[in-house]
Amino acid sequence: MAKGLTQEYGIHYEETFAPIARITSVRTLLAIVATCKWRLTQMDVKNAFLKGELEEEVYMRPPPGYTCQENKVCRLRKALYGIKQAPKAWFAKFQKTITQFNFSSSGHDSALFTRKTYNGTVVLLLYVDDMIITGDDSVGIEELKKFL
Amino acid sequence: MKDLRPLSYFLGLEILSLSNGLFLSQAKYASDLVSRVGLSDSKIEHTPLEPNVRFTPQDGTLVNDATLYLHLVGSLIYLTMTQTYISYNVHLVSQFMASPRTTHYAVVFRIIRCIKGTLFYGLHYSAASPLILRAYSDADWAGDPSDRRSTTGFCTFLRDSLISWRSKKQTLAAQSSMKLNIVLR
Repeated sequence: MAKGLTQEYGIHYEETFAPIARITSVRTLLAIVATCKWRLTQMDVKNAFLKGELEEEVYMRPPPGYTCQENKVCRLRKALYGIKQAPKAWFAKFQKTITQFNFSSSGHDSALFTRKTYNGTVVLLLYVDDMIITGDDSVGIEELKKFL
Repeated sequence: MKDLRPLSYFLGLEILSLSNGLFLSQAKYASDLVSRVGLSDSKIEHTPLEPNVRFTPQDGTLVNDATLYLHLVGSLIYLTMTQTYISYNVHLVSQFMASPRTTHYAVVFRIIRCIKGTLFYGLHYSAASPLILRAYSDADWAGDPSDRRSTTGFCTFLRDSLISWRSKKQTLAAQSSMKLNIVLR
C-alpha cells in the first residue's frame, strides 16, 4: 500500500473521482433480468487498482526491503493501492478497454455499459472491481468473457 | 480478470434465483449487525418506531462518543438497500449524526431489534412482472417540530418490482400543502 496521504493536490494528482454503479441501477437491472429471464453472471477483477495507468508523474520512495542506490526514488508508471488517483485510473482504463469492444457507457449511469449486436444485447454493470454481466446475447457474453 | 460465475452475492446483496423470479436480501449483513451490537438474545420489536413521536436535537442527554452511533447508522443506511420499511426511521436517526443524544441511540437500537424479526425479508422481482414504470410520492405536513420542514417519501416500481425509494426532508419550509406536494427535493 502506497502512502497516498502524502500526495498533494495539483502536484501528484488532479482528479480523483471515479464513478460506481448507483444502487438503483443494480436493482433496476435485476428487475429487468427477472422479467426477461436472462442469465446472470458476475465477475471480479483481481488487483484491479494495479491495472490503472497514471497520467501524472508520481514518484515514490522505494519500499523497505527493495535494494537500490540510496537517495533514489522510483517513478510510478501504473497505479498502486493507496494512491489517490488509483480508482480513477482503474475506471479510465476499464472504460477505454470496454469501449474498444463496442460497449457504450449509459448517459444515466456511467458505470453501466451495453453492447447491442445482431444477436441481442449484453449489459455490464461495474462496481469498482465487481461486475454483473447479463443480457440475451449468450454468444456476446462468452466473447466478452474471453476478451476480459 | 477472473472467473465468470452465476450471480449470488454482490455488494453484500444476496441474490437468489427462483423459478418465478429473483429474490434479493441482506440476511447475512443484517444478522452480523444484530450480533455485533449484542442484541442476538433480546426481544424482537414489531415496529421500528413508536407512533407519533417526534425528535429534536435537544432530546435526552448528549452521548460522549458518537463513533458507535455513526457506525450503526451507516450500517442501517446500507441495510435500506433491501429493507425498505426502515427508510424513514433511518433517515430520521441520520439527522442527528453530528451530536447524537441518548434518545436517538434508543431509536437506533429499536430499529435493529426490529430488523432482527425481518432478517430474511427482501425484495422479490417477479418474472411475470411487465416492465411498466409507476411512481408514488407523498409528504407529511411540517413533520419536524424544530424546523417545520416536511419529509417526502417516494417509491418507484417496474410494475410489481420495487426499484427505487427514498425518504428525504424537503429543503425548504413549505407554506401550503399544495406546494408541499410539488416540492420533491
